[in-house]
Amino acid sequence: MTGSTGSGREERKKKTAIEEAKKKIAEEAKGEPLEVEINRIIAGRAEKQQFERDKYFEIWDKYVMSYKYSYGRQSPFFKELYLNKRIMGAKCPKCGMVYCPPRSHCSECYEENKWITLSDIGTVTTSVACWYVSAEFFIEVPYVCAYIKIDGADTSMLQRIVSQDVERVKPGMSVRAVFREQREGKMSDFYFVPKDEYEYWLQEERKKAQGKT
Amino acid sequence: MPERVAVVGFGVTRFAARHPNATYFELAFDAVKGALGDAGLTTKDVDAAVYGVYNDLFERQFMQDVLIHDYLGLYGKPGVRVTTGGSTGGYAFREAYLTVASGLHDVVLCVGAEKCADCFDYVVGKPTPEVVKAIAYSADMTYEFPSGMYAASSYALLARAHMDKYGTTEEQAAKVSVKNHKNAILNPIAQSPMELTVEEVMKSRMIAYPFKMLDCCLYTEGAAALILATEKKAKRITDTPIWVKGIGAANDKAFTGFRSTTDKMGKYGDIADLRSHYAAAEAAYKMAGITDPIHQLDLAEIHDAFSFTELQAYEAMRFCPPGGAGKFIDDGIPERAGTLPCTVSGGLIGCGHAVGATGIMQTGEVVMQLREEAGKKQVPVKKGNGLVHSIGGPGSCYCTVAVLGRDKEKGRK
Repeated sequence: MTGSTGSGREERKKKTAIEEAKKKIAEEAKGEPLEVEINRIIAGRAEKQQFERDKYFEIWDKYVMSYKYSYGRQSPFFKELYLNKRIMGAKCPKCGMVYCPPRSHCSECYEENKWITLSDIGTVTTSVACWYVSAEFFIEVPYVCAYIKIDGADTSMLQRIVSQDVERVKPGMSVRAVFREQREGKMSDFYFVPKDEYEYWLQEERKKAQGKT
Repeated sequence: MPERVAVVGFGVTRFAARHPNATYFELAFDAVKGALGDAGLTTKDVDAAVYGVYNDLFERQFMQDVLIHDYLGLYGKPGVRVTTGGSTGGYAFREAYLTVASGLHDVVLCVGAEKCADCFDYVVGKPTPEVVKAIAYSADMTYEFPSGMYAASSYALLARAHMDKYGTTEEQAAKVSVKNHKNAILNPIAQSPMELTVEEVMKSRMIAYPFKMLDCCLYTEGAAALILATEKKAKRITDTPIWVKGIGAANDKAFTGFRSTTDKMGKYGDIADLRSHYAAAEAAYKMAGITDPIHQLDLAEIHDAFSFTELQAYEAMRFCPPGGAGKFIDDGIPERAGTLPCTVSGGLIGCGHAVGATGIMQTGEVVMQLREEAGKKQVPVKKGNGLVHSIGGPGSCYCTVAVLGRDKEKGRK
């Protein structure tokens, strides 16, 4: 994983640790925390509420908020992503800095940036394999998040990298964006894959889309 | 000229995984009662208060500060809340310092409290996933959170970049975990005192590569309080005032991917270097007149959110050159018996991370050490100076550094 890894024995040890971690995660990921399921659990437990150890009183509770969230001047990025499967950047007319994720104005010059279409290809700056997360991402672990510098941009964007072998994702690796067929106008509408796995994941997306229709 | 400011009182609750029999405002109350007792003051003597409480979702309550303020009986006096992620304690201390240094108030209370384990994942049947989620909402919700970014992953990206740039190893980071768990054994308030081996840390469950479970700090419930006063008041209150000699703070770009060697903070490095930590330390050292930290400090309390973060902080605090942190721990310099003991409280890994309270607890630790009242965990004090480091935010963007020092001639009450 790093330049300083040791013998094959150590590599195997690491593999075993990863296998064990996978098993533990699988045990915990019993299912998604569906609103319905939570309500059922709360209802079931409310009947049994009592003073524990006669010292304190604990109740079951939850906290839900709904939004109609505006992307404001970031909207062109999400609109292009949603409608046209394109990654947009924003270029400062004064210093020439290309932002991706985009900004409507340059944070250095305060000039209004110009929208430009960027490539769907980029390079990994740094990456992380995530193993312990909250319930909404349980079923996806282990997954890789990485900062990716899109060709033509000066900044790196955080995005998911999907690969048949998560261990091969490394800084300097060339990656390409795959857009989901069912998009919602969110960052999760696309992800990156190692360039040589692009065709495979494109087929997977198509299969998923056909399965749904 | 700003007023000279001293810390004259410290109080702290036990740092525990759960305080089922206390609410956040009750924990804050307990810490304040301790601090007032330590200083020999009552609330009548307090002119203003600063509160450090990080997370509204943890507490199931917005604006917790007014409720704590009421509970403490401080109505009629000003109070303000600071919330800056993991560095909430550090920034709250800075606000309290400013309130006194400006000459606006003479005696200011600085309180941090956090109660996170009320978050609960019904499906898994334990708090952890919901606690992790409540923290994750600190990441940018527009571009970054949807990819599945959590606090550990955010800091792991920085660690990974450090490994790639400087060749830092997982074993070197594990040594920090071993050291801090061990330091916690001597700390009566600590949540996770343990005798560990590097191998055990390496074998612990994977969280976000390169972080294993024992590389990560704990989530903790607890509170801590400090009392700050002007020079005139401090000398009346105590014979052992601990002076705030230097305060530095800086925030780097919260979008970690925007950090580059060509921007305004480029002189401190790139994504692999905690640039806000460098900038904060530089400012604090300049104010305190510290030019050779390793020989002018007796101890440093580092915000070891993750083992690698402490390594990266050694470099930013100028204890060793960039890339030298691995060797620094290999040489045993930050160990309890080393040249510069680091995180003798056990830090976030050993003592616990009660977010809003953490920076205040660590500041209190340095105060008690400089007073030579730290009990079993006391380290030798020869130079009379200590450092407190407090960090937070996505990609460790927030950082505050405080240099504390005692009078040359130490008298006892």
